[in-house]
Amino acid sequence: MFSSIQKRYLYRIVIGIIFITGGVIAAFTLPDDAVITTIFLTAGIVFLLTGILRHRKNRDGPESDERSKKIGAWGLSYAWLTGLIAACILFWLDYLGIFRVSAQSGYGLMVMILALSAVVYQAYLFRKGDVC
Amino acid sequence: MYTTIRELRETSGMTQDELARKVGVRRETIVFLEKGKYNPSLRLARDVAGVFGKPVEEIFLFDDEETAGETGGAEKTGN
Repeated sequence: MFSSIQKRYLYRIVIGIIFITGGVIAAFTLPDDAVITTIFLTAGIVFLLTGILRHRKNRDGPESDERSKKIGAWGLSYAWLTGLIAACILFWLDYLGIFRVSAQSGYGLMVMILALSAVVYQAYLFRKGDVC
Repeated sequence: MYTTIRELRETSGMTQDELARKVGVRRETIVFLEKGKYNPSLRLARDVAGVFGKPVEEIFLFDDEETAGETGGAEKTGN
């Protein structure tokens, strides 16, 4: 069964299973620390699902090609620009006292903006077909 | 951009997946190439043309070439 899976997907699945196992163990051994359990389980589920889904989608074909690499790079560039604009807006809102944001919240917000905008831009460009 | 990939592929009885494997790209890339929505790299254009044994300019046609061809305004140079 596993011999038909490309190594890169198999590694993802194995890492996912290890993380999930670690999360389950942490849930029983560290009942007061929900953060570690959540991180392990979330990471495990993400690795496991991406491994299975990518295997089902690509089989033995290439995972990426020139089009997907191009769109990936452009999506990240747009996300970087979006992040820069968001950081500037956050800075001025905080500076002018309109919206006070702690460093921790600011970092969290930036991580979300950068990650989500990259996903949105890449999804849009993949649907469109090309970057221009 | 307009391409003759679909016609050539169907004539030769090839699937999108088979063509994608031959030129080393994902099937989605062939789909967008056939729709004329993706501008390929010179290397990919050459590889696709190589599969069908045709020159690149017979497979990838640009809008200005099509218009010029219809009006007879452009002439191909070369001997």
